[in-house]
Amino acid sequence: MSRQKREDKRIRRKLLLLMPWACIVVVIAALLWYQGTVILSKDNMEVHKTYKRHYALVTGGTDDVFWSSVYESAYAVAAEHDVLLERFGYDLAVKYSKDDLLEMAIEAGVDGIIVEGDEDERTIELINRAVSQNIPVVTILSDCSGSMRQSYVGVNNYDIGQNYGEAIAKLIGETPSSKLNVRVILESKEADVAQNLVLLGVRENLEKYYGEGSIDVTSGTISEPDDFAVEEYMRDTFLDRAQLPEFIVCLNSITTQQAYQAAVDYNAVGSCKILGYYDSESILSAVSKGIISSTLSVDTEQLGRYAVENLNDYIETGYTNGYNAVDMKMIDREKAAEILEQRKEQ
Amino acid sequence: MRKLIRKLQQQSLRRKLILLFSFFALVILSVNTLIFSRFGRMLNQLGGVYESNRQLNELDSVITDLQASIDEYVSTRSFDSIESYYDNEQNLRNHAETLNNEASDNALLLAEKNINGLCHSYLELAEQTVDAKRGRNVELYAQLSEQTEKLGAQIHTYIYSLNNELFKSNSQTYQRVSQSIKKLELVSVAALLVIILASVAIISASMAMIVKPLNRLATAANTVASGNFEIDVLPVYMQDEVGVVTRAFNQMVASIREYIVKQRETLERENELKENELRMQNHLREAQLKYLQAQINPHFLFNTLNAGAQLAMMEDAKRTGELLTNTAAFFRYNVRNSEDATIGEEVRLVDNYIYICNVRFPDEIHYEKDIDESLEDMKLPSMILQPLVENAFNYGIRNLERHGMIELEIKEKNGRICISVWDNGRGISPERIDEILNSPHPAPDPRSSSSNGVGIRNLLERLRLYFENDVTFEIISEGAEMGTEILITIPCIKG
Repeated sequence: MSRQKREDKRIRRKLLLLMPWACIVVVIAALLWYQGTVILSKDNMEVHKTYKRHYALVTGGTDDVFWSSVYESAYAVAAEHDVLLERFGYDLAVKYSKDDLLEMAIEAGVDGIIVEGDEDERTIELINRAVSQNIPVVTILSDCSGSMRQSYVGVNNYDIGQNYGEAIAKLIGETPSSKLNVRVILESKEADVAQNLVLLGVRENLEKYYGEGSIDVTSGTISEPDDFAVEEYMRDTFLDRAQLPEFIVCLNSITTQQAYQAAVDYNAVGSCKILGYYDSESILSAVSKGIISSTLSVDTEQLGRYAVENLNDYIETGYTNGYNAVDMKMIDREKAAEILEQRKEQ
Repeated sequence: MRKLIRKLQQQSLRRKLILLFSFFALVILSVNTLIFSRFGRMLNQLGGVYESNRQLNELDSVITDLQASIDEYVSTRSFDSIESYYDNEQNLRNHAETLNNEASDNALLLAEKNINGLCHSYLELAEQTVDAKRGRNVELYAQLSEQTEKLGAQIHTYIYSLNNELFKSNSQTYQRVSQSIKKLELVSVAALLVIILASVAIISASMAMIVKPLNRLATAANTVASGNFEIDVLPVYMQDEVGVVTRAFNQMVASIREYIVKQRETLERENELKENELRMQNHLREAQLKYLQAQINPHFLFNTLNAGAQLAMMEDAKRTGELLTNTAAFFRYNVRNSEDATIGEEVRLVDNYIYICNVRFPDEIHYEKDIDESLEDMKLPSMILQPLVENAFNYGIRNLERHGMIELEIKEKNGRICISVWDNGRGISPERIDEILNSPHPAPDPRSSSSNGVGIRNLLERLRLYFENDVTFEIISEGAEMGTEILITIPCIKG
């Protein structure tokens, strides 16, 4: 046998002898490692991030899609500033009203509150209580002007009405031969100053084009602000063909979706033109198909950003903007198709 | 590592085995301990999975109890109710302390934080309610009581929601831990199997290392037992008992080999010595023979006798001439310088001697011979018969008053030559016969020194040397004046 072969045999023998030792080491290491992985995956509560402040976003019970969009953008901005934004009461087993949620947020001791404002007295009282407890409040989308809130971020409701009026005038064109009906759908609880301003804006704008009396601008009120009530209201509206207005103006995404669904269901597309609110995919799709004539889009990203930034400014400096206006635009059929295309590409 | 291995090699076999088995027992124990600790940890996890739900339920109960005690105090203002209120209030405070109070992106922890905040608000409201009741401010405590109840209900909702979420999360954890336990069972069995197999492999290898030198030693011992000492020195790697035995075995084999060599040398030397001794003896005998021959080898006398015989013949002195011729023949035989002779030559020498003796001592010797002629050519050492006849004459019949007689008889009997020299003279005592034949150092034979002949002893020794002991020699004498017979048997060797 050559020396090389002997050497090879010796090395092989050594390796063979080392193998059981390696097995023992590997098994012990594997057992130690296995323990580690179980501990890590044991409890997902151990894996989390803490923030220096906790804000609460309190919104009404309707228009989930719109508010979800606002929350997402606001959450991202808050996280950038080491702030946690919670959509307060969103996951609770019981659906509380906006005011109850606002009260709970105050009692829970959050560091700041972003709330969809209204002119309700209880809301004012709660906002004032929060402020008195050193919890700054920013109203969003609709204001609570009578309260001690620190800031308001939203759109000018009168401008919204003006925009709807412009869109309706564009659809009517020249002065109609017969009297046309425009119905603005309002929510009963929130049939406050803000909604009335929208209604006023529509009315004044149309009067500007067609004079008084030629266009009848009315408001329709939904008794309960939930999905079933809206659906019921739309069903009643579209079933009563004699009373069906030529134009329906919706002031939130839920009403918009229910209106176009009812128009399709009751074959009223074309006979009743719908002017929607918000730019969700389904709404834009309906606009691009001509079921909805046009929709008003409020910049939710700006809404969320300004609200969080204003709270931060106030907490950190004691001062903030009293009002931040966010952009809005009317989206017609062509624009809707474009936006949908762009989103698809993204 | 090498140092450790070297240290291990120096340990005794017993200690090595104890260390080996202890080590693997320790390894298996460690692995078992690890597995048990994993199982223990997981079972603890499993047991504690719904702990958070239990705590929340407890918190929920505490709030309910606190609300009940507030309601009771507000309605009855009893001592028991206020005591119960304080107990429950402290209880709630303690529970609230355990809840998270940091803003976390984990929904469950965030809910805990909110419950924590709500609980603290609730406690404040409760305190205010109790204070209002104490202050008998009916309107205020009624209002506060209502608020407390409302907030309590909200906390219940929060707890309920969190409990649901926690239950979902805990169920998942429970499932995960259950699966982990199942997986760990398989892993444990596999791990134990691998460890045991590896341990068996290592123990086998170690045993082979321990047993290999023993096997080598056994093989070598068998080889040595079969008589083959030409084996290689066994290598000694370990310093244990086997190493000691192997080293002793090597030493033993070397010692045996050395002993054998020494024995061989001793034997060879002894053989050589013996050989030398024999050679010396031979030389001595040869020398003795030559000396004896030299004693009866008077060249000068022989030549002179020859000259005398010629002179007598020239002067016509017939009898003198015959005497001198016989005498010359007698001495010529001695001068021959030959170790062996034939029976015929020996008989003729006896004849010459008898003639000379008859001239010297007239009518004293009556000599008769009976010779088998076929044996005349048979060989025997020279100077055998004449000394026997000379002894018979000198010590048997010389100066005998009666008629002296000597008989020489040579016959073949059973393939051997029988030589008998008989006289009717004085005889020999049995003691003397025994002394002549058996004593290693017999007393000097008066006949060997005083006579011209060769002594009986010398004769016997020469016969034994010549025929390699194949000789019988007897001296027969029946007593004083009864004569003597010397009987010799020798093998037939043709000349």
